[in-house]
Amino acid sequence: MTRVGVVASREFRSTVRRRSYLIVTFGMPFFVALYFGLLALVPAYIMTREGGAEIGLVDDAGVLPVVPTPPAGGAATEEKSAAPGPLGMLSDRLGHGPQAKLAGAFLEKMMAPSHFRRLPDRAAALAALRDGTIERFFLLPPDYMQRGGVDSYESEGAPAGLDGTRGQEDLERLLSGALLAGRLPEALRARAGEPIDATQQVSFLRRADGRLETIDPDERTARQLIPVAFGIVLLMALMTSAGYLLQGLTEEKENRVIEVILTSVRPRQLLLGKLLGLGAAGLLQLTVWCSVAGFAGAILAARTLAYLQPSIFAGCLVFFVLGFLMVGSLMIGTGALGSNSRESQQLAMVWSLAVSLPPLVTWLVLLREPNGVLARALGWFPPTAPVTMMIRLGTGRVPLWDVGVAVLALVAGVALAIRLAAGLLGLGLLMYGRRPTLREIVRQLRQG
Amino acid sequence: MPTLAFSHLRKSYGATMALQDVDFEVRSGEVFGLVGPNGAGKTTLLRILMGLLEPDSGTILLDGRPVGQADRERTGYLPEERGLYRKEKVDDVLIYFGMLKGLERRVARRRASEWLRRLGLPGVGRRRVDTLSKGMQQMVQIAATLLHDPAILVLDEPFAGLDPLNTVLVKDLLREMSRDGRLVILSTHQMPMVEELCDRVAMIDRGLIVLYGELEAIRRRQGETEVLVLTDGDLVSLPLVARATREGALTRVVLASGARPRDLLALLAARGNAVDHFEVARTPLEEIFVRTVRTGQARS
Repeated sequence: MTRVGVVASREFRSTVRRRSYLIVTFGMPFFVALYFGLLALVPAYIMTREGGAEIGLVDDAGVLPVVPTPPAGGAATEEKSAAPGPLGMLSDRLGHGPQAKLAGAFLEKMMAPSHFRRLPDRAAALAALRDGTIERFFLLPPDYMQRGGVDSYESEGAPAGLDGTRGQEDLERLLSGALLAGRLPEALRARAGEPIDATQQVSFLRRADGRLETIDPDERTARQLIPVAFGIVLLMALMTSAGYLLQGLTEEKENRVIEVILTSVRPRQLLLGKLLGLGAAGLLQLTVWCSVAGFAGAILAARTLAYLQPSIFAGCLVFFVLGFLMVGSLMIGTGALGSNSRESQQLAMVWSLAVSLPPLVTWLVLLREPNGVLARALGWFPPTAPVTMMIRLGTGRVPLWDVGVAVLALVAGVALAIRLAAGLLGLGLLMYGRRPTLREIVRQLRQG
Repeated sequence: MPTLAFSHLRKSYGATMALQDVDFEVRSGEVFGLVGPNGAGKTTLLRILMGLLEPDSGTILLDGRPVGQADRERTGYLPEERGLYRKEKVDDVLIYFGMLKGLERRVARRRASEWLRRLGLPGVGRRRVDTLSKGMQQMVQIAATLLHDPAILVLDEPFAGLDPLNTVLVKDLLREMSRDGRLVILSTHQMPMVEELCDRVAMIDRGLIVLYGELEAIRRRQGETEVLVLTDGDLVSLPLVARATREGALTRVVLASGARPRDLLALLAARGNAVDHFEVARTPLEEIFVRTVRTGQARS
């Protein structure tokens, strides 16, 4: 095994055995799942408790069709609003796996139509509210047709938010159907109720050469979102890896292990080994996160990834790896100059800002003009190239030669960064308790 | 016979001269002592030898050619402070260091186990470094230095933290290494160790080599001639005696300049004094060290 391989292997093994790494790797998905689970389950629980979101309805305006008299002993009849359109469309996209079925069942529950309980008058509705049969009711006042106002009553403990909002939307749908009933032909009434059916929509894209192509708007969104997601993942990988890396370097410096190591490997080999080892640990962490996040994947990622063109994916991967190597090197080099762990982290973080800020500030311009002057300047400048090029690639409009120039510039940037960082590493690691002066840094870099 | 020659080495940190024209030679088969007060430049010198620092000028030659990375890979370096990963298992640390020196994992594992056994630490391999005593950690560090069977040994304070038993063990080990024809450089403040182990020494003070050569020759050059005598004669009044002080039953006599011990013995015999004990006393290296450093300080 080469020296670089020995360092990389040790770095990988010691990182994945760290308690903090294990907590972040396995704890993060658990906490995220717990957080989102609670966010989703609380309203679901409330809806279950409400017995299918039953809402009282009193029609003093006489707008709604007359319903048969309720059976003896019952003071109410039931109305159900039409199923909302997006549910069917979403169900299509979930696929057929067990996770998809679970997600589908959950969404169906969440988006199920409201059940309205017709009540004869305000007094009966208030009585139902009082005895807890219902938690809220709507009252269409006698002057509803003139004013358009609907009064809403709810008990003090009724949950606010999603449930109330959807009840009102369902009531609007119910009223709209009732108002148009008999006044419009049945077909027209259906269209007036849902003027745009998203499931039947076709979108076209006019290419630069004049060709018209049908596009899936979701595909377009996914194509732009995935490179942005890559950029975010790159930054996350850099932040977490740099943290482990600098922690390890500071330890090696403090306990003088570095003196023993540097008698066997050159700073450049040490740097590369550490980058590769930590990069592998970072990738393992991401893999675990992606695998564990299967539930979210069933809803979003699996379908979204299906839209991703392999060429864009490959391009993002190339810029991800090169970006990690370049920025990681610079972070190690500058981090090594710090006289303690905190100072090292602060010095290193400068690079993550330098890499991410310009493209993230200008991302709207990059999406609008992916081949403009700004896009090319940021895309061909090695420090900003990784994130910029990922955003540009997402538009699908960057010519191949342009991507080639960016890759070449970035490869040169990586080589230079490793060279610079190795010099700084050699200087910084043997300085104890103080930071090297600017003069010493310049001299070291010149020697390197 | 392999020789390591330090030739006109200079190194400065800003305005501070850490090394000034340092020039000496270490031969294989000997234990060479590098001594000097704190901040004298010893660590800088060793770091240059190990390639951790670049000299401003001068060279280090091994058998007439500049020391390169391949030579450094055949060198075992023990830094002054313990260079071990504290939270890792001893075996893992030793195997890693062995592999960095080019050993295969399998070989490194076997040698780690052998050296731990030899240094009186069997079964320690599975323990974490930070659970070991200071002395045990030092022994692990010594094992890490010797794991790859180095031809050159550079040891900075190897006896720090060792109990008397382990001190004897390491001393025997160093003697054995030098007998095997290895080049051994021992940097330490412990003068009795140098006197016991080293054939030749270099004393460095403020970046300059102030004493260098065979230990006995240095003693002869630097030390005053002293004898320990048990006699019934009056020593103070003798012309060969510069001064005399009682040390228990014996008298420590510092001879006048140019006088030799045999002259004093002959004089006592000629005067008919009974001599029950006559011993030439060697000036301790520590005394020479202190005197030399103080003289240097007074001069500057």
